Amino acid sequence: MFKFLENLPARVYLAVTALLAVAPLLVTLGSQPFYLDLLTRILILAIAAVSLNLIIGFGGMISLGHAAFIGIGAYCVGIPAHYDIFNGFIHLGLAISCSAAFALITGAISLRTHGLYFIMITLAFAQMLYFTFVSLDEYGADDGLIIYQRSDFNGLLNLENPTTLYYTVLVTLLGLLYLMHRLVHARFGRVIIGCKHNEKRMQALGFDTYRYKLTCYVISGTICGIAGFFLGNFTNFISPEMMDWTHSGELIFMIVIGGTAGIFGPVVGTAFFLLLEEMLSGLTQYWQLIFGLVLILLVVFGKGGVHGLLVWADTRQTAQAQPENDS
Amino acid sequence: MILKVENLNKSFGGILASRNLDLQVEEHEVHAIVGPNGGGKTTLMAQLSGLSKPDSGKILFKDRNITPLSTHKRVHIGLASSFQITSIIQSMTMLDNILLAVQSLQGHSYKFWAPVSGDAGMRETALNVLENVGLGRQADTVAGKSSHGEQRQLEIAMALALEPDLLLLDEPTSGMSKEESGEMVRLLKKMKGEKTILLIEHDLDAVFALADTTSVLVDGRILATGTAEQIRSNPKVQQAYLGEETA
Ligand SMILES: Nc1ncnc2c1ncn2[C@@H]1O[C@H](COP(=O)(O)OP(=O)(O)OP(=O)(O)O)[C@@H](O)[C@H]1O
Ligand SMILES: [Mg+2]
Repeated sequence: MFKFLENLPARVYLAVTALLAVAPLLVTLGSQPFYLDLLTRILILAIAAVSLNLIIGFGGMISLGHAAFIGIGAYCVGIPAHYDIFNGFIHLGLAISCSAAFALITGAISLRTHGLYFIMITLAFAQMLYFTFVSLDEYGADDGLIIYQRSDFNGLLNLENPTTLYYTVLVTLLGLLYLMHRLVHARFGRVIIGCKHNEKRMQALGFDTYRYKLTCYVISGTICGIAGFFLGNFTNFISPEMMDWTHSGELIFMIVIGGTAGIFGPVVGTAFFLLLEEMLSGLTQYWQLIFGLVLILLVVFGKGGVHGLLVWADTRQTAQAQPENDS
Repeated sequence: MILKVENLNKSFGGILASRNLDLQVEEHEVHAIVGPNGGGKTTLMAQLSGLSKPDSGKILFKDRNITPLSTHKRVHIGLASSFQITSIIQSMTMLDNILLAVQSLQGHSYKFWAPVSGDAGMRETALNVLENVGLGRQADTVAGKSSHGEQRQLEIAMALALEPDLLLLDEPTSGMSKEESGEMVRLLKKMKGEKTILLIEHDLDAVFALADTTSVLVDGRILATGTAEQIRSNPKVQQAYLGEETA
């Protein structure tokens, strides 16, 4: 049952999860509520990063427009709230259906293209959405909207309480990771991985690759929409800036830092990205320069990201444990 | 007759890779296509598998016009291909490569929960395929880390695993050593009589050992079709193709 603990990445990820589970306690003990905010943000963006990694890391579909889904999810909280509708089931239901619909429509078109064209077209769709919301004066245009009350789940969940919000997001993230684990090992996941490596062959094996990829894209976009739903609630604020392409780029950085080959990598990458940003911005006003440099070094030298590093350390360790292994 | 190609045309810019090409393949025969480099053999295969669309012409498979059908649909009515350029999934194990084919045969793959590795029946089917082509012991080897010869065997095994009625093989022995290609010819001989195979092959010894019928494809056109003897003695063929080799 605990055989998976023999492998180093699994141990590290379990430790990270345990730490996240007790974090609110530590934060309370240290009376540093600010850190709970930071951790909540990390978890929310980790959901987005895990969803993006499904299409990039497993499916080989490099999208530069994923922040659009964060924006959609957030506006699905903000717009109803603007009309005094605070029902969380409505917010979440809207976030899921709107992001799924946007993914289906834009994916159906984008997936007709490949490679660089796919990157550009996903970017174009996201920017179209961005400018659409910039032009909507009713919803604050450029300035966005303040959300005065968080999603209300008929008293089942009080998201106004930061600790409750934190645990809700954490449970969602863990549930998502388990879902991803099942998905990539199931038939659907095998087909998606096959498409990344050799789409033509997958067609020659009898798979309608376009449909499988589109399904994968819709799943990914929908999950990212849920991340947006949480982000809107968390920040109590929405603006078109949330879907700016730079945020899509940041998500790509996060998954590359964490490693695209595993399921948990993006979580570590997101934490690393946001913690480093926080640390450096406290140190000096030139932090972005250092931040950029660190990112470049990580991408150039840290092939496979944190996950790749852990796997490498693990194989080295096992190799040392059994130096002579001739048979 | 399982396959009938009528008046196929395909051009790339100024190059006519198929011109008014006609071809017929009978059930249960091994039909070889030979011809000089750049003659249009791979282009013909691509049109048969559906990966490339002809400019004009018709492809009939089991009396059905499949010209408008996409590649994946053709697979499910019994047409499978293997490629001149090895197209295996390098990062997966040999077994996982075959499992993809097995999975494809068993209906749709919109299954998001049950792990493939837990399906003993699928695994057994896939292992049988690997054993058949002599890769039984390499099942857990990562495909990209095996030798060129083994990768070529896997390439063919993936098509075989689809249990096709017509198997399209584009130069199965390409890049193989003498022994490896001998092994491949033995493997193909085992299937003779059971399967219908359309085979592109450069090695004429292999062709004459395997094929019931041979067609010569030169400049996008079938120059001649017949038994090994008929082909060998055909003056047009000698002039256009065989002549170069013996000269
Ligand atoms: N995608 C393509 N774009 C442009 N030209 C092409 C393309 N595919 C094939 N050709 C050209 O069409 C002609 C036929 O090529 P094809 O690959 O079918 O030949 P072949 O008979 O398979 O050759 P070989 O024995 O070398 O494998 C060649 O002149 C080739 O350069
Ligand atoms: Mg060829």
